[in-house]
Amino acid sequence: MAQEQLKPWVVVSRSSDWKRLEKHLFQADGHEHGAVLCCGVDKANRRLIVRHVLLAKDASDFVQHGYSYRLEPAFISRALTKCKNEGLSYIAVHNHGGHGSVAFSRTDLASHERGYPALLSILSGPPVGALVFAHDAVAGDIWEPAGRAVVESMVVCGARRQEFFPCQLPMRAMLPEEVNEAFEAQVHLLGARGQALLGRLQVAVVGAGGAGSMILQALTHLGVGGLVSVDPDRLERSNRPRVVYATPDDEPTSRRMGTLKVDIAKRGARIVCPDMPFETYPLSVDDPSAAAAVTRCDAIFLAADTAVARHVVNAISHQYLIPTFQVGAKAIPVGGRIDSAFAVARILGPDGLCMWCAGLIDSTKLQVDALPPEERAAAEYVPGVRQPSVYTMNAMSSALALNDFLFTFTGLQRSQDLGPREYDFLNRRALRTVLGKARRVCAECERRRGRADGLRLPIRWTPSAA
Amino acid sequence: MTPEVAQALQEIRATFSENQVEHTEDGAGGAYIRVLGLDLGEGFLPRQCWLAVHLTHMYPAADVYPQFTNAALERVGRPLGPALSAASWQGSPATQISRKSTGWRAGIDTAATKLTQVLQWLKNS
Repeated sequence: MAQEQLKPWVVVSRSSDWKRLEKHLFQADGHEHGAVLCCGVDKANRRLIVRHVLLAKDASDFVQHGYSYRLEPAFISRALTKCKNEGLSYIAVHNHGGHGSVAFSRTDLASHERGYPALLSILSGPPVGALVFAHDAVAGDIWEPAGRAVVESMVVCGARRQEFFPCQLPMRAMLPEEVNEAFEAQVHLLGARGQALLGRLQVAVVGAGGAGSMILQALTHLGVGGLVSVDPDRLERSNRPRVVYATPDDEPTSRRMGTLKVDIAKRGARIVCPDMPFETYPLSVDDPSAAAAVTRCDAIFLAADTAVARHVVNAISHQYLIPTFQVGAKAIPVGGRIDSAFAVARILGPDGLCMWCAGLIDSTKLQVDALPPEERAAAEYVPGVRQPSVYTMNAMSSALALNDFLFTFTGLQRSQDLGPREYDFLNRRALRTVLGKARRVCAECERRRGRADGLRLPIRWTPSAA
Repeated sequence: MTPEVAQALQEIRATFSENQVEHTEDGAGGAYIRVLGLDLGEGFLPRQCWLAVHLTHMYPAADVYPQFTNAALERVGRPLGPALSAASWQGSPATQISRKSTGWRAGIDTAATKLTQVLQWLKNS
């Protein structure tokens, strides 16, 4: 039956899940092995997000029949039940030999044609399909009610980002000569492949104030592919010196309000990279359009210190497996003297931190932050004390996070450690952050991990959502 | 209303089945919810009160805070306890009750249980 060829999918996995799968597929015996990935579906961005990896036991779940192997019906049934219960996509997995390129065999494709129409009707909604792996390569055949699609690549997120394609891409060819020249010094560190990767990345920055504006500036200088800037605030006189590219003309006057911070950031980015796509959302990140824009990015920086921003970005990060880099700088005055002054960078999301598990979101503060402004002032249980905020301290937390982003995404990071990092200014010491007391039951990261569109994000409700 | 807030409203109606429960949507997915005709016992004037909360679109991750009751609530023979202050509810004078839940557990702690606890606290304060 002729089927419409649909836009390709990208599969996204946590590094820890990929390691389990890789170890299972590529065993010392050199044989084929099988598994099923239960994936959340990010329909708008054509991403399949791995939530569960079900490894098929050799000889009972994954059995040789003549020259080929197949998953046994009982195993398939268990996997389908799991997928159906959580609204996930069913993706069967096996491996071939070889290195650097892979494709399905004719036997594989024939089995898809025999089996997948029935699986599609059982799941009634999410796609079904298959992935075949070789060393450093993956190919996919995804079936949807409307047609069939290939898998463009598989992205593995963690301490070292990896990306696999059906065959090795000529990365140098993807990097235009003039870009190569402009970023020549950077290419010496990152390689053409690393620089080309940066040039393809869409990065969201939530918050465009002191730290956020610095991060936006730095990402522009690094040569990322596009930026999404989210911040509802306008410039005030009191924050102008800390906001990169802000001028006295951006301050509010008796006749007009201050300039939107996202517009100041965009103006600055235009100076450096006039052609780089730069989307602005002068909204809180719990606005549906802002959250949707953040959700389609490859990485997120969280530089807004509200509990609402923390909760929403933490949810997006775990639900869509988007590596997220959170920054903060704080000076705590006690009794007229500074008790502590530190900068912190945390990695959230795939194999990283959950802000709920780490005790970094207070439920009551979340409620107060979510109230309309007129109710919020009356409800604040801690009197509104203005926190000190200093340009150079913001620079430290931003630099820690930006380099975490750069070294994890380009695969240069050697350590598998994704723990938070802290710098203590008063004692001139780099520290590992001591996490808050972990919750016994975290209702957030486990239920959200990899669910993609299958779970509602904690954002403002619109009539269309109903 | 978000499905979670709608469910919380249902649970409040079930918990306070003897009482009138009114609600107004807040336009962002939350709701202003008020339970009327609650009996505080003889120690209070008036003896009957109402309790109200604004569940935001962040519920159930967010605490149910603050809570509101009658503006003219008095305790017979002694002043009201701490955590109470003059405020307004939906544009009318009210008393704000500032009872936060340290260690709020989403999905385990609910708006209905919080209202029950606050009512109990008010009676015993």
